Amino acid sequence: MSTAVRTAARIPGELLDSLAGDRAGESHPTVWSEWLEANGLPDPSAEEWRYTPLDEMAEALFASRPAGSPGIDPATFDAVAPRHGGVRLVFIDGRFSEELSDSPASADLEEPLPPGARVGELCGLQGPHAADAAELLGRWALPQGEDLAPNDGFRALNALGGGDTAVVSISPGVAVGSPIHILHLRSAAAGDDPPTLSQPRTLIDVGSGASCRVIETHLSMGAGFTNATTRIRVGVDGHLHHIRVQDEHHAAHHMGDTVVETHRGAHLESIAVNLGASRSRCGIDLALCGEHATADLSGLSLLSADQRCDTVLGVDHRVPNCTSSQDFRSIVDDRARSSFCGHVLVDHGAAGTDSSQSNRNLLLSRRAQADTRPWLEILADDVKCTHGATVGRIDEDARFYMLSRGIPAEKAESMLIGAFAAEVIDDVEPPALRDTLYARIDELDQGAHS
Amino acid sequence: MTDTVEGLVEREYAFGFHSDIETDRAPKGLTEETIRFISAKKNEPEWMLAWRLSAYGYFVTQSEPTWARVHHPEIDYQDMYYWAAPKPKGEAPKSLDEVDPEIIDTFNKLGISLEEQKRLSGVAVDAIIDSVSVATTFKATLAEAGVIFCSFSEAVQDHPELVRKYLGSVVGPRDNFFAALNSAVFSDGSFCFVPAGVKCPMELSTYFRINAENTGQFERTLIVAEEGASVSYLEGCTAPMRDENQLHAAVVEIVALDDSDVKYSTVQNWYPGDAEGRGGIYNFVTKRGRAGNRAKISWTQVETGSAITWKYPSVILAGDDAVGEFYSVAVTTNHQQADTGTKMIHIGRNTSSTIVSKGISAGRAQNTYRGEVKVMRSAEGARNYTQCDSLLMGPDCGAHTFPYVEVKNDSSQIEHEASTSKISEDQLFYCRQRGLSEEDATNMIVNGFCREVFDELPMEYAVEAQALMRITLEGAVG
Amino acid sequence: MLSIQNLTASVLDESGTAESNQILRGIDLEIGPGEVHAIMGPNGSGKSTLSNVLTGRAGYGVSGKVLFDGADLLSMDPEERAAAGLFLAFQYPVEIPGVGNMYFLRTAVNAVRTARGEPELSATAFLATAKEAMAELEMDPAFLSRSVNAGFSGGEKKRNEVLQMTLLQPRLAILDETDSGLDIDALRIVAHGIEKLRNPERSMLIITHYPRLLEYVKPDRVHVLRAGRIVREGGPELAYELEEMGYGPGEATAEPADATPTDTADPSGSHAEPDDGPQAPQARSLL
Repeated sequence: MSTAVRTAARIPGELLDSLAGDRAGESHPTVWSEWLEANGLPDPSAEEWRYTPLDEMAEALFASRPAGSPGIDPATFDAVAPRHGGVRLVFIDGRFSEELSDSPASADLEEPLPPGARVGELCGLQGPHAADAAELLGRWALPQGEDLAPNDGFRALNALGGGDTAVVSISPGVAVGSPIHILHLRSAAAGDDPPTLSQPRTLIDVGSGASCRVIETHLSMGAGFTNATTRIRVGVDGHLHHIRVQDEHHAAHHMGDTVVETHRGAHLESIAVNLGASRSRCGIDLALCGEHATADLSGLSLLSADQRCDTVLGVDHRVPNCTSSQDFRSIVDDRARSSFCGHVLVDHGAAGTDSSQSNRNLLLSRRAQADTRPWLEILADDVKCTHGATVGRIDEDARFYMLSRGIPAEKAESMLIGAFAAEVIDDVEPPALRDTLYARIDELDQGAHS
Repeated sequence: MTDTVEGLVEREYAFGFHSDIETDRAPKGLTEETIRFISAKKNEPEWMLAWRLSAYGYFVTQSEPTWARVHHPEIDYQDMYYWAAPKPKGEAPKSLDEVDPEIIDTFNKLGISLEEQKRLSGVAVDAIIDSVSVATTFKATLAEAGVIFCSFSEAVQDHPELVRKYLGSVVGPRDNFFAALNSAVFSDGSFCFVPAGVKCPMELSTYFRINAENTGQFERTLIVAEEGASVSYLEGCTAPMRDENQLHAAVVEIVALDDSDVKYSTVQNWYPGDAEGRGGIYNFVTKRGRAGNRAKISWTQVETGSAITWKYPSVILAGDDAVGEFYSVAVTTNHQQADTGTKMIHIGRNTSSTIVSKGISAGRAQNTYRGEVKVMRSAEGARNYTQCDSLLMGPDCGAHTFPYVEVKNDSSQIEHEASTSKISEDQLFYCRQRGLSEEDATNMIVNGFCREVFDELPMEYAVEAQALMRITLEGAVG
Repeated sequence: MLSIQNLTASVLDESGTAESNQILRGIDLEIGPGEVHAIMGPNGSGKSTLSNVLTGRAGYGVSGKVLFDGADLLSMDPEERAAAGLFLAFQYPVEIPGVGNMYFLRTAVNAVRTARGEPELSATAFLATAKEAMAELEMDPAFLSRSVNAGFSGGEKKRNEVLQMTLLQPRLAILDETDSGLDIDALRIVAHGIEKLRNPERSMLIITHYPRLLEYVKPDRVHVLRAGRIVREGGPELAYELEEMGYGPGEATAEPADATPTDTADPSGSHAEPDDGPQAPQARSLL
């Protein structure tokens, strides 16, 4: 509870110039350049940035530059890029790759997208979807100076130098069965070039009564910085199942910023999985804007070596009679450090709110570390809010019980770790992705014994 | 429930009166000269003055912390008096009979007549009016056991080696803004020393009282329990009704050496301001203890008063197997604001801490629990259990829970649970079906909600706490 | 003693207006002094709503008339009804953490005594009475020092309800599914406690799904509630007939039995009379 005030880092002009130059064709990038010059990166003493390693983030950001020509060959890409069934859109270094993406109209797809479901790059979209998406973009992805709070530096940076925008737009009443996969990949720097900087953007707009599943994956081939924004709107009675997987290169830095709004009767299920990157932040801001909406957020972080991951949730119950739950877990090995801040705000008048939050941390090594701040701020009286947090290691009694039944120690531990993660992972679709996650947990555990 | 809230809003401060005792004052404002004045007035040794001045040197470089969820007009630290003492009529009193009758009368109004206390409760009282101790009792019994219990000023004169050894060892003069202010200008307070192996033969109690207009109250309490010693210390406060805000920045330090046991209980009922939020005490308190091997420090507090409460009684669990406890009930009504909780810092092996916090918020009040549990890398096998429950009464109040948990040792086990709700309609109906009025039912349910904390209080304080809750809820249902 | 005339009730929605779906659709019932009446019916027929409305639970839009010893019951607060001698043994007794059972009971007893103009019981006198009543109910005196219902088993909660009834000495006791969740021994003890309270001045209204409690506490009259109306009435033999024949077609409803106060009538709105079938068989022991 120190009162020391550290100042926000200034962004080097050279970096700003390189980003502004990247958008030479557009009208007023100076809005964000000027804002960033004035405000810089977030203030490390701000509560919601307290556990984000901002110094290291800034250092990595300042050392990186936008990649030159998108640099990955199809063979390498196929070797690293997962497929989850359904249509897949690929963005390399923030640029849409038509070549590597499925055409939504393609006859090769197992299940073609129904009419009314449009996916693609914003500029490539036609008709009313483009207008809707552009309107969303106007309000969110490209905030003007007055929309930005003092600690929104990374948002402004994405607005200034962001790439093409991946769009999923589902018309009212349309149900999409197969998952839509958006893959953002950052290439490795060539030769002596500085590490790459990629600023992906994703926009998901689920219309009234519509439903879909979206898998958003962030990968990278080398050190560098990813500054991603995702904007989601779930319309009246809409239903979205969203999985975000961050599995970047072990030397990468990742800044994730997801902003969601739900409307009356909407249902959101969101799973955030953090596996890669040396330093990462997974920010999710959810605003419940219409009554009788349900939002179930969950997340899993698997951290080893000296990884650090900071999960920061803001859940804002603005209207009465909404239900939200947050279940975030982390498994921390070696010298890794997980931090969590879940801030649930129940606004004036948001009676009938039902919110539960849980953050559980499993430490697998003596030097592993976990910080947790499950916060409740409640300004209405007729509410039911609970939260809970635990930090601990594998339950000795359970482990001993399993050993006494003849299960080898390593197996017992991996079973218990799997069980710890299961409540989050079991909601992951499709099953192949779920299996991949279990395999990653096994790897982590075996690493612990090697 | 609407009626309940209106009733709460309308409650009167039961101890609102003002007694007129002549005071002598330092000039208004805070400078090095003020500090020299205070130190000289108290005839302090040079080292004490140097200590105060070092705190002042730090204070002037700092600004007021802003992280607490409380709002108040800016405090002008130059616009208040830092020294006020009851004017002695002739010589210092040698017995109660010689004490200023007005002071005795004040105690009588508060229901804590020293005579009564002496005869009935067997509790030693170091009573403080404004900033100087005026009467101390039961010294003989305590002296027999080797226990030192006196005003801080006396301790500086009579036991300088002990004060010098322990003062600032837990809450340093540069600990935080308000602690630095206190260290610079503290006027008096209590000193308690329990030697090794001694179980203090009685519960020790101090009544605080703020009395003079525009006088900041800066109490300093130091409790030292040597190896294997044990003591239970009670602190209770009440203040007369006032229009201007009054600043209170107290510091309590507890040194619990190996195998000792210190229990510190507080019932705080200072003037909370009127129904519109005018006046009331600003209560910015630093309380912290340091527990050695197998030592135990337990904080229990019932906070019903003050316009603003900023208070985090904490335990540094420095020794192996040390135990820290924090039990708290905080009630806020009208425009009161409370930002209170604890810090448990686990350093030793197999240390354990328990936090039970009950917040009740009504009217337009804002009630915040803020607590930190920190497990250092050395704290093998540390355990913490935290439970924070909030009760909301009315649509315009707020209840906030801001825990911070930092764990750097994998063998520790940390559990935090919290819930927020209003009084259950089912419970109310059940009680009313059995014939209880809505007010009685509410009162009963709220007292039940606080039970785990009340059970930690010494008996006579538990009774006082329940009475306070009843006054708080008086006329709650129209 | 109790006269219910054309009583209807609907659940109030969030804004406080009555929803169109009525749960009680016009109940008429007369209970005289010393009489024991049973109300039986399938889940969702409105049984629990009836007990809630009679005891004054908020959340219902109510019309009709209920006289209790000639006084207008519906205009009274819940605690006034309790003071007048109305007692409800809850189907799901509420837990009140931190409030000692003894303290709760004594406060309730004295609140009711004060309202009736009787002197309060001293702590000693109360304790003696309570211990005696607990012995009858085979309850451990340790229950007095525990929090009200907190951590009690289902059977312990029901015994605690009967204990409260014993101590409060009501004029009219409504027993809402008091037999549910009890094993056979507990049922015997609870039923014995109830039967002991039976006297010519005290009336009872037993709400139940099964007739097993009625085996011990023999009712004077049995009423069958269905979709918010009393559709059949008869003597104690009616209970066994129902046991044998069921409540007739459409017994299953979509509503959970414990939905309170959203407990609604059979949404199918079936008004079919229960299957009259053959004549009721002779009453027989179920044990």
